[in-house]
Amino acid sequence: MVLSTIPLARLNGPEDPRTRAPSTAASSSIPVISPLASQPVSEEVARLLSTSIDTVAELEILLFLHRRPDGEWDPNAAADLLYLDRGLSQKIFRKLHTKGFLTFRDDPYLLYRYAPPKDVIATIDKLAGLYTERRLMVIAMVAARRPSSVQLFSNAFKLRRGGR
Amino acid sequence: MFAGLVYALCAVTALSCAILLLRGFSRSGARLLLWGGLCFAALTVNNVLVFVDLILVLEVNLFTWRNAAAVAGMGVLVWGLIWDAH
Repeated sequence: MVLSTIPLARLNGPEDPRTRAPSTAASSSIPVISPLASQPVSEEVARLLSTSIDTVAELEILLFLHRRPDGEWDPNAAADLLYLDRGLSQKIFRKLHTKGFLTFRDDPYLLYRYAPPKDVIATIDKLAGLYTERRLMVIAMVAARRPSSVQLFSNAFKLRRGGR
Repeated sequence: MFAGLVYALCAVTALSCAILLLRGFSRSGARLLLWGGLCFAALTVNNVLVFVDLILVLEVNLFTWRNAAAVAGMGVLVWGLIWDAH
């Protein structure tokens, strides 16, 4: 167990109800005991982050839809709610659909629905819990996997994608 | 004859680098690749002019033009690196 005197809500933003710490702890300096804080990141969550999530915006949209599994979403509406660029949101929705996290229908409007493969559902649930508890750590994990400019320079000389 | 082959291979190599780097830029959007691609594009011009100047058209001196292309290419790369660093 890890003790912290910093309320979690201060790290994640007090307006976000998802990140609100237990009521007695969030509003005082009583140490917060987070059951997840001492747990290592599970292998499947780390793999999901390293293979399927390229940016924090993608992560935000995936978890946004994860919290609303029954709804159908227009990328522009999600963008407005998450304060993202609409064009970026559309790209991310397409990308998440390509990766199998979403289904869509385009009649009468293009709407997406959260529908990940069954074997990934539990992993995304864990990721969502981890993101609520240790948001900065998850963001750091996503940011760390972005290739450096030097790596991109090197990759540019690979004739085939994924080639060595 | 051998010198001409070397100049031609240099031009082909520089052109290949330019194409690969600009292709990488179009995929990743990383500006380092843009500066590198533009630099190699200019170096391609430089090498083509070297071939033309020293092999094909001996009566015209292209020394200034071919070196200007090389300087422009390196200048773009250096400017891009400094600009990106900021």
